[in-house]
Amino acid sequence: MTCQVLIVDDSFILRSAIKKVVKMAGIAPEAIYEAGNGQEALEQLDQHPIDVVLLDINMPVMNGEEFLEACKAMPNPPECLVLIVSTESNEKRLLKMRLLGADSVLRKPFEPEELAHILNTKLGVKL
Amino acid sequence: MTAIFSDELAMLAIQALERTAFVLVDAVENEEEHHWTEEEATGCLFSRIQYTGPASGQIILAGSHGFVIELASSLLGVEPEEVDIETEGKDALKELANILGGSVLVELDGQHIDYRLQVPEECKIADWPTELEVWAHCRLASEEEWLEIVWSSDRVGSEGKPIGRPPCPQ
Repeated sequence: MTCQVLIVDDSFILRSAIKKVVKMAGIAPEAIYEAGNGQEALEQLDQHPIDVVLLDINMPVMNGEEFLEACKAMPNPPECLVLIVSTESNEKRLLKMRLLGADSVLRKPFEPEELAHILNTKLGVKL
Repeated sequence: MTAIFSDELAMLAIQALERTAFVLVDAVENEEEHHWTEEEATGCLFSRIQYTGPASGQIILAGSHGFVIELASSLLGVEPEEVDIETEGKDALKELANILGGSVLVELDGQHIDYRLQVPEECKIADWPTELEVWAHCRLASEEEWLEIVWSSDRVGSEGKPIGRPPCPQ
């Protein structure tokens, strides 16, 4: 099974770093897409069959919480795995993200093995 | 926990650098004996992240020119000579501050305490904390290049105590 990944982070330099980790986890470079905020992420979801969204929380234009709310409000919400990738640690705020549809949390800094483990357990993807 | 100590700060920074940028550094022992040279002071870049909540605080990073280039080069996956230090270098140091800030808040029981991380920003040598504000300090080195980090807070518990001001040129 191939896995299409969308990295959503307003920092270009962090997207580059996360992209490197995603590649190390075994994802092909051509299967990795990027967005600088939630609005751009919605556009990418419209254009590509994304399996996994790696979502930052604090972003301009549309933040992670607003992105999840927008997905939830869609007539046909995207059926992709959403992993919060953030420095956020507060359990209440992370619980709110989960209630909005986030599946799991990867706290920055994370290792390739952590991502590979989640993709394996949640999607059955062997990397 | 309401405070972190210098060795914990060093450990968190080493972990952030290794996991995010694959940059390997060592904590410098006896860093209190180190005195910045004039060349180091003028050639380094600063970034900081502040947080608010029941206690407010900040983490300030000062990186040598070469260290910041290595950091940005590794994060971006480009050759060091391709790095624009004014944009990419400064952004890299700010993002490192952001990640380290998140890690520090976890140590300060951020899972259960409502802290808010602010946006990481570039700062100046004048922002370096004064003596009574400094609570943890470490120096990391990779060959000749280095990174200094200080954490300060307006409130710590009985386990924290001022360590004095790390050497910093005025």
